[in-house]
Amino acid sequence: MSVSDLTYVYEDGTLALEDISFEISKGERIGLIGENGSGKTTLCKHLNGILRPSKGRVLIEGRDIAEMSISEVVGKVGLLFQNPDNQLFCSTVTEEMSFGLRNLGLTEDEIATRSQRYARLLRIDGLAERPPLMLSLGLRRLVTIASVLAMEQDIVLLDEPTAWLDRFQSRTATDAIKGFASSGRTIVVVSHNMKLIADLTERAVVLSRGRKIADGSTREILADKELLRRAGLSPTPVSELASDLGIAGHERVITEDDLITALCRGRDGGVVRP
Amino acid sequence: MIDVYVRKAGPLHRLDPRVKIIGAVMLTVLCFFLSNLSYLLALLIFMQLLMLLTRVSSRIYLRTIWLAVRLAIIFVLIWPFFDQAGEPMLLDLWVYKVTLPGFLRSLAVAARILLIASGWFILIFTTSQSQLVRGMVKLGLRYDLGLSISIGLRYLPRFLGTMDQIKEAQMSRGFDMRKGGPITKAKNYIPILIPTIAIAMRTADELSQVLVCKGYGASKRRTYLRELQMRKTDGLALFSIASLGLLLILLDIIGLVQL
Amino acid sequence: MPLFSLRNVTFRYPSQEGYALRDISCEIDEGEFVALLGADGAGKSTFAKLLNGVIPHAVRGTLTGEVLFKGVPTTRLQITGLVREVGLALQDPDVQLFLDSIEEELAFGPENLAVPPAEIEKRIARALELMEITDIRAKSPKALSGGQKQRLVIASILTMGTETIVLDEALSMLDQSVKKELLDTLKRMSLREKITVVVASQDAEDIYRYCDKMILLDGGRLAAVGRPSEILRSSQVLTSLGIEPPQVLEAIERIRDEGPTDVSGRLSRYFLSQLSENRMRGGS
Repeated sequence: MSVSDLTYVYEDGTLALEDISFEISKGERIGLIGENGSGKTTLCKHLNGILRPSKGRVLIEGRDIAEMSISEVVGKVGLLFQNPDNQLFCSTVTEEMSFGLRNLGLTEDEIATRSQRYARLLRIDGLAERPPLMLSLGLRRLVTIASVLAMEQDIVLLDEPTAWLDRFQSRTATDAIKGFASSGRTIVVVSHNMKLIADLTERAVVLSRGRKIADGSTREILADKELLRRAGLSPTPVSELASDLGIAGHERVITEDDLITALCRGRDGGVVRP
Repeated sequence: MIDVYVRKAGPLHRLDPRVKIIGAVMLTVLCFFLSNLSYLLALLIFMQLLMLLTRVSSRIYLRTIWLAVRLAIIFVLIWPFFDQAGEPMLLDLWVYKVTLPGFLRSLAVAARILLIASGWFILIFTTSQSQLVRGMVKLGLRYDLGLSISIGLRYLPRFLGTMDQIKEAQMSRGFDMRKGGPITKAKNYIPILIPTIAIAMRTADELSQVLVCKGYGASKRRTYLRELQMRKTDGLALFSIASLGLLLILLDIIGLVQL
Repeated sequence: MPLFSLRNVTFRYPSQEGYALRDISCEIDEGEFVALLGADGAGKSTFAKLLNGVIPHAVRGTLTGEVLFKGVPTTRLQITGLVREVGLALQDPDVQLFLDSIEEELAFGPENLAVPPAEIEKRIARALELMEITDIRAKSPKALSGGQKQRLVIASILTMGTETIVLDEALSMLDQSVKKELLDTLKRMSLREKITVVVASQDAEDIYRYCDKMILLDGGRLAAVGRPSEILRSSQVLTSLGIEPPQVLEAIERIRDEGPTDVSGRLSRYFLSQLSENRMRGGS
């Protein structure tokens, strides 16, 4: 996918996105980060064709998204909305998951197989016959994640996938997303949770007030404290811990693994064991 | 569209909402008596000048006045079906006869529509929702009814916005609302309406708890931080509007003046 | 006397089969900053609503046991009196802000309580100051950022004269830096004015550095109560209950297993120094 000079202005004249350009290659796992209001969700809606840019273009495999029909775009790009309640309407979870699949034109057999597979992956297979609207918020969230992943599009945009999820549900969702991405698909994860971004993505694009201010490897970006501060973001807790304690190599500590690596090496040179 | 209150300060903004409400009502009543085209046009021009005092942006002004203009144009266009009296005949198309006096009468009707609309628009441009409700309550409306109206007005654009988001979410799942014949198109509202209703019900439930938490209904007599108080200017404006209006209507009824 | 005292509290919603809360007994003291933690469906919201009387007065269900506020069972108190003392902030600020101006939002509560206008004026000024948003007074509520909206919600609770604020997942959707700033403000306010703060959340990150007490719920039951230094001896206590633990704690445990002991000791000391009970003043 390629985005060129994307600019988007709301009806009332406010500038939502300005001159955004970048490319997405197949199989990438990209994090889209920035403050609330920086334009992340608006950008996602351009990437799946819901919004049309005021200026600039979005291309999918060379074709302008503006010239593609809804079914063509949906065949390629999926979007998980931030609020699960914006889409749940069926009387059972299975039907809810089938809705999108039917729109893709799959056979009933394929629909049944996929629904089961992804329900099991997100651990909601026990809820198959329950009405999604009556489930708790976390479970409603899992239903929407399952529904989107089941559509198995080439590019999937996930807007705050782990919001409202407790620890168990969050683990289930992240494992499912990782598994999904490992099969060669491209994912873009929007989140204000830096731990999640560090876990799921290898490249990060930073938005601030509608402009792209950085684009690079997740590790580099999350280690750049000045950049994070400018963008209104916080480093991961272990990253702050490492710099507070002045640990050697603290600039490269983003995840727990990094912390362990930094602490168990480099002291008097060589690896130190307990 | 719903939220057209102009967030600026102007002479009309400062007027007590009760004066503006009564003014709009007075103007509406007066329009039922007015049929003289020249008086109507003069008053219409006067009201548009008054509109300048509301400091409304030309974009919003044009958008809202267009609603009334559309209605007025429709009236003028269908008038010749019903009023075909007078000379000279300008256009004769079987059942559609345009006469000069008839045409002038249709213009008078159009002017009345625009006048009534102008009065109410000036009201809503210069009076915030809560001031409006406050004014109505002071004029006798029950507070809880006023609050319901206020909250309803606030939530309507929000729910319309939610419906838009729901449409986007369903579109992202490949749902194409435009496909299919009339029956399918009607069924296509289900994936939009059900989430909207679900969200509305959840919001209503939460809101009722929020109102309880804010002590709503705790005391029979509420206090108000900013009491509506009529100042000299308000009193003067009210007196002039009311007396002028009533005087004109009275004179018209007696027959001394042909409105 | 504790401010709140729950004794064998059990509650069931009429539409649900299971119990939302089962046999809960615990206390909250005046001025405490409490983290109420639990997974999805553990009963946090139910607990929160018991504190300000919404349950049982405005929400139906079967309640057994006692919820005592200043020694008096909430069933024997009027809801109108209770909401004066205990305020509740929900996750979505847009549902709680429905008037035209910030001033009206702040005045709505005390107006309902028939507080004289001069007094309302004073309360507004105080609430804006405590929540550190005096500078936005003239703005429209719709133009505020997420963090500012939540501050406004809390300020509009303060104008009612409450001395207890319960936040039901109210911080969950905020950016992390915004969340920390808000927690700083709440902690400062709590210490200064002896205001009791209860924050319900699925995530212990951030909040663990501000609270004096942690209450952990598990499927409606009380799993643990205690100070952060006691509860956070292991992250397993939290993860086994579906609560997201502080990342630093998880890191410390792995290092304890895999790394040199003096390193993990150093990290543990750092971790403990972050806890509110070990810091001289609130705020980072």
